[in-house]
Amino acid sequence: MTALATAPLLGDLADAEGSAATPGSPGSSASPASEPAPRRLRRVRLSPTLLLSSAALLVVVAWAVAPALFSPFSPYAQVAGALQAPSLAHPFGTDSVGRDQLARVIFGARESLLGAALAVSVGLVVGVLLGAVAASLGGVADAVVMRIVDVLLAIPGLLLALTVVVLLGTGTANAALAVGVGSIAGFARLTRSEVVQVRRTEYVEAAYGSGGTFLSVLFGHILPNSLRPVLALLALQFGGAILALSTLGFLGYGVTPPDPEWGMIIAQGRNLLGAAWWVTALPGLVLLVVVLATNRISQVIGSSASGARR
Amino acid sequence: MSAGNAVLDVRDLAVAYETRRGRVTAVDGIDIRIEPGEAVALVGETGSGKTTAALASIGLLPRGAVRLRGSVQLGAQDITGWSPRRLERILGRDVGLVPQDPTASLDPLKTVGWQIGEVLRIHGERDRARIAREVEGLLERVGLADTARIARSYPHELSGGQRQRVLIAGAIALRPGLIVADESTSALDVTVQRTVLDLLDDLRREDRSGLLFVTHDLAVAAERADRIIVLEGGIVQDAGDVRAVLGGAGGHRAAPYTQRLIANAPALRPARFREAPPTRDEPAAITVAGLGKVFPGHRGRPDVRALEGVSFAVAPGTTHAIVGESGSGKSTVARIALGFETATAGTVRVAGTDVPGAGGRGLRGADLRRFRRSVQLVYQSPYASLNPSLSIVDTVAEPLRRFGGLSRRAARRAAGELLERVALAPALHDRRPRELSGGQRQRVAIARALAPRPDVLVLDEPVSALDVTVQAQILALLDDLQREYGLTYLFISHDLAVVRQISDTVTVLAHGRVEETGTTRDVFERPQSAYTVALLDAIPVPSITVGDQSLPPADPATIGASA
Repeated sequence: MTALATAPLLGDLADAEGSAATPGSPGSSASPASEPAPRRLRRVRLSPTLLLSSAALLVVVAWAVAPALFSPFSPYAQVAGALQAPSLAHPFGTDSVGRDQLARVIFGARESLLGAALAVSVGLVVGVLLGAVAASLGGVADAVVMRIVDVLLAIPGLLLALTVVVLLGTGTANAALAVGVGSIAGFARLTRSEVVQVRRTEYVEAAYGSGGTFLSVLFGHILPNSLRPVLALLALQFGGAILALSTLGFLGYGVTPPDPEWGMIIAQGRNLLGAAWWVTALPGLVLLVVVLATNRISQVIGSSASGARR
Repeated sequence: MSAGNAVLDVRDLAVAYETRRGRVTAVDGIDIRIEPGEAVALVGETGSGKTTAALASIGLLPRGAVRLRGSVQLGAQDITGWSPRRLERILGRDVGLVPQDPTASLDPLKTVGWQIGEVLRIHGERDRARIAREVEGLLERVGLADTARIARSYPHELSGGQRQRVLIAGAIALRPGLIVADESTSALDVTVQRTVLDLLDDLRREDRSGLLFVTHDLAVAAERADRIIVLEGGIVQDAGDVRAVLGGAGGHRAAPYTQRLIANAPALRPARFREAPPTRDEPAAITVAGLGKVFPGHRGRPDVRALEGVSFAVAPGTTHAIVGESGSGKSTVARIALGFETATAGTVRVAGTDVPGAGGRGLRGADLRRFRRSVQLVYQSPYASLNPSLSIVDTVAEPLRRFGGLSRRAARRAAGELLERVALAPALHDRRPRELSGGQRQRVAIARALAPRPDVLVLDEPVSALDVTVQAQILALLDDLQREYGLTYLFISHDLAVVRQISDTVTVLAHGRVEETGTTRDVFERPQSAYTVALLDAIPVPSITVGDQSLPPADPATIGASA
């Protein structure tokens, strides 16, 4: 009813305002610079690799949410002989004490994903805040924050994570925290560079003119327009965090056995690589696929972010 | 009428763009015929296909464009359907192209002399000394002094006008029979624009070359062209002798679209000053006295004196225009009046608040809020001044919530009403800025500025990014709003024709100093300073008179009603 009533009015307006507003008019393609294409995000092409990546991540998330649905076996129970090669009953084979490897990978997904989520949350929240504050305040605050970030960046991520774990003690949460601390610097730096660009725009000045306070402008105008590339980094860091957590697990700083965790599962098989390759290789393959999938998705977010800005 | 005489003969040319949604016709059947020494203007608004038509008529098709039909004859050669490679031989030799943006069209890493010489090298000249001599001769011909130094300069060392002359020098290097100028003067200051246009005229007369120039400015076309082609949506609306199309000579009746363009072009209208809104017996809304601003120089460079001793006063409910060319300091005045910059000398009083200047502490807390509320700004570019991630109703609702203390819901409702006041239908309110046209966006920016019910509105070139028909609508809207709310306008502009139409009083700025200030009528009819005279002379004066014929009246009220 409302749509019907306003339709002619709309038509009049588009007509009066010149052809630039009319979609599909010859002009809209003749001068792409003056008429940015609407809704660029929706035009992301669904390439096969993107579909595969999304599917892989969905499966792993489903494992983490309801592992029992996907595996008839318990990850703790001995269900068959030790070190059985992959078969129909046990597609990933069994480990040195006869537990089903697939069950351990499926149940381990929760540990890995939760840990990675916690890690990137720490990095995201602290990093974005630091970057946004540094960029908005400028001057001394900016210099101090960014030099700290430089120091963090100078220390190799794994070394930093190991230091934090040693200080805090082992365990899932601590390992996740450690990995998160390692990713703060990247988030801070990216956020700062984005905010510095956005805060000089006219619409930010106009927001102050509209009575905005420092915080309301920061959260209402600056951050929403700066965060698209940060989201791309988030996806990338998620994959990185899974990998880093697995590394910590591999080194024995993660969960306590016998809880399943991907890094530890891989570590346990490394002495048997010659005799039973599947104990290490198949969980490793899952890890590889997940990390590649997050990379691919990050790439898509990143390119659509830069596309939206052009 | 043999085709061999014309320097360019385009017949029924149609061009389309290949897009995702299929072919979109950009130019639908255009005929252009240019005799030696003749100037033809291709006029249209954004998206009318004028640039596509001009480029296609010298064989150049933008990426993704295809020729649907038609033929192109350049001099004695039929170049229809030539490959880009084959065209290379005639470009520069038979056609010179003067592009729109002198900054983007010159290589920042090469001297301009090298870049002009490149045209000669491509077409077979090898002798370096001869090239150097030729380049200096060309630079002299386009009216540049100290040619040896200019030839050695890099583009960033030259002014906009000088760069445009360099491009023209490159275009005429081989004395082509045809020069194509694509909005070549649109980015220049009026006085510079005038000298560049004069130069093109002189060159055309001396060489008897043809000139095809693309412009959105009807006044420039009326002043400079022999014949004119009006394009809208890729379709030729009008074509013929300038006097006939724009002046109605020989009983020509202009197409409705052309009539609308003429009615909306301020420079084409007989000078008529605005009827001032009733002045109120109140203290001035804006008082500026002895204003000075010095930007400290960076890294040992001298300080920049942006403003010096600027004074003027604006009565409440009237419009005061600040006119000047780029670098005159007019935007700095606006930013100081808004409190976005602090003055280094003098005092500024806006809407009853003393804007802190030299040594004074910035406004804080409640004072700042009251000040921000009473003075609002409309920016030049409606593309940059709206948050791309907010719907327009939320953009307008923000000041209502912040200043008016309204709840989110009440603010959105009030914002909707304001948007309707500026003629934006409710169906548009939830759109993002990128889903609107330039004129619609500027309406949003105006609604946002009106939301806190300010006393003073600072308008920084509010219509210079818009097409003429849209420009006229926005000016009419501003006029309406001023009468309705009793607003005081500080109107910053470089466009004297617009200023003449909208302002009551004027201050002319040059290099940070006031050249002249007074009522608009006095300044325009009896200019006192030499600079003002030069500025006024630079307004394109068409040799024809419009307004005598039966055009729709160019009355803001009627235009406003249609918007």
